[in-house]
Amino acid sequence: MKASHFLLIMLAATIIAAPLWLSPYHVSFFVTTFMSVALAVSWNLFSGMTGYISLGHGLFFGIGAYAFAVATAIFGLAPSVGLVLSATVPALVALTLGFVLLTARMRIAYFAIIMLGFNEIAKTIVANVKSIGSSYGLTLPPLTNRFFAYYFLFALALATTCFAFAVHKSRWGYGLKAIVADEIAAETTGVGTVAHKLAMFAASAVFIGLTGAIVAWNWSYVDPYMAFDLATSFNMLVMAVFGGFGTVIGPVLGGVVMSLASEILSTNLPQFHAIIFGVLVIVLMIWCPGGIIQAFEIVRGKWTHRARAGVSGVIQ
Amino acid sequence: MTVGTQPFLETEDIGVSFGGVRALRNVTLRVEPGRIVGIMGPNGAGKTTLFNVITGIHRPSCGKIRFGGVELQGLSSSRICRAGIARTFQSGRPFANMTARENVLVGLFYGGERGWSRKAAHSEADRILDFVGMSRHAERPVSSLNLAERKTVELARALATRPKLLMLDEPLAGLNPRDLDPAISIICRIRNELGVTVLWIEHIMQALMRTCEHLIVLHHGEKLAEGPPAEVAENRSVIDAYFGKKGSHIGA
Amino acid sequence: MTIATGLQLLLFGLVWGGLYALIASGLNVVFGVMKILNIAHGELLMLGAYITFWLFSLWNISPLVSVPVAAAAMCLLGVIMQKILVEPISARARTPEGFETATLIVFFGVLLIIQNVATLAWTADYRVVNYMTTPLTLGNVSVAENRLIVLAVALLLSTLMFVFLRFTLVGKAIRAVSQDRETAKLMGIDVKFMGLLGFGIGAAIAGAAGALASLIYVITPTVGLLFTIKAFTVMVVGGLGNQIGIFVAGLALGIMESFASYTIGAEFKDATGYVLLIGFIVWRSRTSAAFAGEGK
Repeated sequence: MKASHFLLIMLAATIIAAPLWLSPYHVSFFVTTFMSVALAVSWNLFSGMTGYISLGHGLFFGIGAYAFAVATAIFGLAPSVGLVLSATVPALVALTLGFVLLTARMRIAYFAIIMLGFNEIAKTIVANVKSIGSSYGLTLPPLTNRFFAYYFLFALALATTCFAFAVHKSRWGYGLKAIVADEIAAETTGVGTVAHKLAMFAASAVFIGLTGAIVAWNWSYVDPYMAFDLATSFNMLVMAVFGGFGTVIGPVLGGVVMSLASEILSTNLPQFHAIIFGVLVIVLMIWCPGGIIQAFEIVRGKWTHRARAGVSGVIQ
Repeated sequence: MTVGTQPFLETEDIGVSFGGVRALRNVTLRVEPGRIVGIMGPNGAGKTTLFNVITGIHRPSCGKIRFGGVELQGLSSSRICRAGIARTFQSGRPFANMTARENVLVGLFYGGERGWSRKAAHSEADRILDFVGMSRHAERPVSSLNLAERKTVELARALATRPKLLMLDEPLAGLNPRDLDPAISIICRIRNELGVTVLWIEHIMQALMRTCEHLIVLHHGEKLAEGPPAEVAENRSVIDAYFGKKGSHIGA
Repeated sequence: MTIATGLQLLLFGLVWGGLYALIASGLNVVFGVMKILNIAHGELLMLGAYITFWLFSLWNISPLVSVPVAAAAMCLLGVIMQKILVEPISARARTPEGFETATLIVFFGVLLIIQNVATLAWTADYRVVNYMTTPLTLGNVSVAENRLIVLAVALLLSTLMFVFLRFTLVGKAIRAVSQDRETAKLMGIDVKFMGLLGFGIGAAIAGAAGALASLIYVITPTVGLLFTIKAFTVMVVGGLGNQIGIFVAGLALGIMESFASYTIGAEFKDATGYVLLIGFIVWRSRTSAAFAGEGK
């Protein structure tokens, strides 16, 4: 067994055993970290791997959360059913949206703002539909197992990362890279760009939807402002970009580091986090758009080639 | 269907407009298999637009495109690629975020011949790079290559899709004089050794005169003339189109 | 629906439409000159609204005076953003897509920074500017004075913009850069300066529109985004660079929302504009190759 594999397994074992001795505060911190990693990797699954920047991917978080909430709180279905719905409904929405938005070429900026808009519109619509709680939200049946969120989100973060890795290594990964570089040239080289885009769009929606459901369940509460919070969409983007846009490990690193940073910078004011993340992403884009991965490669002296190629070929 | 006697690619009455500007009008042509056919014409004649229409990037507003009997208009570019048509672009558009070999791998994995195992694909990619003379650049990122090398990688990628028809859009544009002959010889070898039909837009007359068996001239979106190079060179209207009323001899 | 109601709705729609048209024209200038979709455009509007509110609440300064004040303040902010954010990226970006991606992400950051700074500074409490709210009755139709003022000023500013871009030398330079940057450079136009100017103007308009909007809308730190989306809708439907098209599309959106508000409820009126946007983009992406663009 390779040393790196051994280390990873030890790490996984530690994480799995950890709740036995961690305080609830720490468990909660890890829950947030796993959530962040899952979201960042999922955002990158689509935006990083196809080059279509989505500024409103939190839409699927909200849809997943509400699918779960409506199923359990309003229809009284079992949580497992709720979870299945929180994976499938966002996927269906993604496919529908994708059919409308991704089946022809679209300017990156247009796609970005349309997704941003979708998140906002979903928020205002849900806030006005009385049957699902309107702006007051819904209260969910409590999550009795204290560690469920911890393990489920860990599994989800793991699953998303493994999925991203598998895609990256597969032939499909070549096609995606081609789409990032030059969608038209990719098409004329035989890459079915529509299928690739739709698949990644739906896949990212599934993972994000599940994350939304678990987070909502953990809070026993969901409302449109928390479900479709602009900060969710923003944070997943910042973490993925900070770690390394378009790479597999980047978003994982970004999720972990930024969760840690948020914890350390902890104040009672969530606005501070947003402002700092905002400044961070601006600084990143100007000086180090490839994030941590780029910084790494510069330090290792391997940057000269990649610098000219541009990390993942999109930014810079 | 026997190759050699049947028309291979044919367009019938192709018309395309962009916001009121008629880019192509009544373009009807045939490309016989196994030939090197040149397309020429002054700038703005619609040559690249014709390529874009054939390869599915633009939908024609009217007319049909047939390739080996199958109608292509309305199909996606990837479908058309798998049907056996590959193309290169005027500015040379290999995938800038990959190495030369990876570019070729995309063509192998997604082109007309699928089912390559990892290992087989790698050796095949190297074989193709060798054919175009890019072996020593296989591992280099495309962005570190010069224009001629980039265009060659793009060509290798196109070949990897196993085309029956290769459409080249000004492959010689921007090349240094010393790179011209090697490029032309690769193009000839593609037809001679690989049996691929070549349809070639070019401004450099000498190249077309030397290599093509058939020339098509476009002007203002319409087919102006076609025929063997020598004939086309003497054609009055072609000379007028290029040089105005008093033209000198265009020739090799 | 009676004629009186219809006219009332129409008038309301025109007031909002005029505002939308104005905001969109500002977004359009920035997009044309720098090819940046400034998703933080609405935040500048929000700041303009707050400036107006505070000047009015603290020192009783008329919102009409605040229009140029907010415009000037936002113009400055816009120029600063162009200088410290856009220019460095423009210098470093290797491809148009890379530039577009980087600026999108940067301005997303700007959006969040401004929204959250505003929330910290002024809380999320609703603010309202009560100015000239007495209604005027014109026949069967009753409309608050401030709405008419908003309409009048919005129309005035739109006209000034139109005249400026059409008939002045600088305006023509801006349009030249929007249409063909490379040729404009060759013609001796300082595109870098045009970038500063373009952003400054676009931001100024957002500020002015914010000042006007404060008269007829509730002010919170998060109002900006919806305005940005609507401005984008108007810009796209009206046609990039098409000043008259944008003007008409703006009015049309305002009127459409007004009638939608009456028929399907005020809560869903925002969605109608959005549906229009999606439908329009999808339709145009399929029918016009130029529209789909070389964006990817």
